Amino acid sequence: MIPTAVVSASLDIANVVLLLAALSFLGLGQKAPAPELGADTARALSQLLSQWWVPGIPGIAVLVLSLIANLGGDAIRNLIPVRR
Amino acid sequence: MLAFLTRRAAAAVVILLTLSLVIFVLQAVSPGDPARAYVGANASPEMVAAERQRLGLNDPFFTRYFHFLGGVFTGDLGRSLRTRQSVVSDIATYLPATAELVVTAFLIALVLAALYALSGALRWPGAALGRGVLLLLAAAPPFLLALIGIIVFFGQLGWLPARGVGDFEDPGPFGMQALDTLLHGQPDAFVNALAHLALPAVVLSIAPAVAIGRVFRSSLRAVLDVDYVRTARSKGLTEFQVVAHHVVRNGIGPALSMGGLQLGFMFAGVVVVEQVFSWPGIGNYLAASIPVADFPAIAGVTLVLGAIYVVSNVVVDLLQAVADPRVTAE
Repeated sequence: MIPTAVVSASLDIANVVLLLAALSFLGLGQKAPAPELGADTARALSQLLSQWWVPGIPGIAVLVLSLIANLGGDAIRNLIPVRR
Repeated sequence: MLAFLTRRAAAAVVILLTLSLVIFVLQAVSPGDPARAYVGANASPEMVAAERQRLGLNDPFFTRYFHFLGGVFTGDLGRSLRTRQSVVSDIATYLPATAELVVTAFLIALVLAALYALSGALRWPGAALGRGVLLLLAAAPPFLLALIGIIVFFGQLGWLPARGVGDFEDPGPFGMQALDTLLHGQPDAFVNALAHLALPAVVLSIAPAVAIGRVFRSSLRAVLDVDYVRTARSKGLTEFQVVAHHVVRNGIGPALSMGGLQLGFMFAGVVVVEQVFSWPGIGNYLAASIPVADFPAIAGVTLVLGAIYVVSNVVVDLLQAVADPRVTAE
């Protein structure tokens, strides 16, 4: 039971990261002085076509974070034998 | 079949009642004051108090809740505090554009998911590379995909528009630009509407495509190992015939249920995509309603999305019985 829950939770981290980034992109996260990757992207949208890296880099950071969480979840799943 | 539908309908009612109760509790504990939002920031305390009385906000919690439920059953979701229109007519205005976007994205997702799973089963060259690319894209936040799409296809190449549903007047009757212009035989407007659909629909389709594709792929792999597939191969069938006639139908069940789940999720995930592409749909409506605590609009949209989610899952259960006669819809 516990291994299944650990695997499921570790794979869910990526989903939570993406959900949180989406909410903060919509302006529903922490208020402005607090650093939030989604909000950083949303604030810099006007520079999208001139300086893409300003809104782009925070988004790429979210991508890296969720990719690591996904790979880590897969690794944990391979380490722990789960009965199906 | 009838018993199954009755039971699922009853379950749907319970789910939606619970959902509406949760929304109501959230509203009761949230800091925003709808009356203040309605009369504006400069209103006097007396005006706010009068507005609270008029909106029924001073009533006890359950009185308000049952009042709201009574409205739901008579097709009245109240009046939006932001647009000052009835929420039902607002939703009727915005839902078709969202439905067109989500359905288009879902069809793209199904094609991508089938490619994801079948390319491996049929041992196409480059299958692993294609899978890797899709997995990488699915790990990206949707707004990043949308921004990359806009930079490349709008900013650099100039092939696709990045905002709105189309440059032509929608001739009706559905409020879906591509479908309406097709029905009216307006090829220019139809192509224009498809071009506007392309970027948001592809962006929206990536995550569900991978979710469905992964499930489909693993169930195909399981079916590829069973005895009747070995028999089919030893009869001399080509690998394509084996997969098309013997493997897909037996392996599609889990992918179908995942598809139903994802279709429901897409109606929720559409908010970010609609925001980035200025798509005049229900997601944009919801995103505009939340910051101003427009409670009737939020509750109405949530209920409608919940109902769509429940119905799409029932439809999938029925489809599963069609695909695999061993699954009876019971």
